[in-house]
Amino acid sequence: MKENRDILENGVLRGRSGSVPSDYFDSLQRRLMAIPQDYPLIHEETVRKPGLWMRVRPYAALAASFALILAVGTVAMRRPLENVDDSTYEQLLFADMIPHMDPYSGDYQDETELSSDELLEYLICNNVQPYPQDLTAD
Amino acid sequence: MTDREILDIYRNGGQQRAFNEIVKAYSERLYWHVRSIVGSHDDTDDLLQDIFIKIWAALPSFRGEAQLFTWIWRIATNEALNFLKKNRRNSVSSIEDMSDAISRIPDENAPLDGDEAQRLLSVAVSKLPPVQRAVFSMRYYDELKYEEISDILGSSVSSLKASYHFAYEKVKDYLLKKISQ
Repeated sequence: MKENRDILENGVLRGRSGSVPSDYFDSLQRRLMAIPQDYPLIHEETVRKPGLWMRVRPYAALAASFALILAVGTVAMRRPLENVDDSTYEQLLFADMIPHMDPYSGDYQDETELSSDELLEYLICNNVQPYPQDLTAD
Repeated sequence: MTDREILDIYRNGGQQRAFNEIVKAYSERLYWHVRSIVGSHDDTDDLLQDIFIKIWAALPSFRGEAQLFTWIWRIATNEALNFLKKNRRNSVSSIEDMSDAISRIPDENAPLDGDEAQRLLSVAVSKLPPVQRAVFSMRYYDELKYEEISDILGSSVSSLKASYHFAYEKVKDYLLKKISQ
């Protein structure tokens, strides 16, 4: 039993186990040596470098699209307005003369100003001394 | 032929001859390395084809920063581990095959002979998690240094030592348990 316990430490088992078909390794080597014929190497010189046009093409595409946008925009802006009559131009011409109104200002303008008597009456009715006592005293 | 000689042949235009020398030098060792990870012969056979195709395709980009041996082992180990990750079956068929062999161990008190013990060890190794299996295989069977395994797997030496220790203890426990049955 002690011999069994030492078996791993002694390295008796370091040999490989497992069944392999007869002459397997010879046939394996033959198959593997055929790989270069089946998969020829692609050498660097056989790989075509991209030409000048291929390198410039993205920039050319960008410039062309920019020019197209510019051309379409210019044509659209310079085209005369066909559906606009003279009254529209007149409205635009006199637009500055239309008074500008504060929507809330009218309310304040219509309100009448309080007279001093009304103000005094309001204060007295609300028990507020309209003038300090010492100023009215003799 | 040494790795350096193989690389010299390759750089001097003998690509195919260099590849053939790699096949001669490494195919059998790689077979056992991959088989110890994936388990079955058929899967190993398929994987070896893929591994050597990758080696052939990647040879032009090999710059010699690592050793040729380490570079080849890294490709093989990654392929084997990726295969296990994809399949998630951990070579059940091979474990079952091995279990038959275990049941034929004649006498529990008799010392194990080499073949039976090796089969038993294969079963124990196949029960390890994939990365521990790869570490155990490279350290125990291939007797690689931790530094070499570190280059291959990209793990630190200390984590590899821990991984191997756990794997070793698990395998030993399994063997002792099976032997004492």
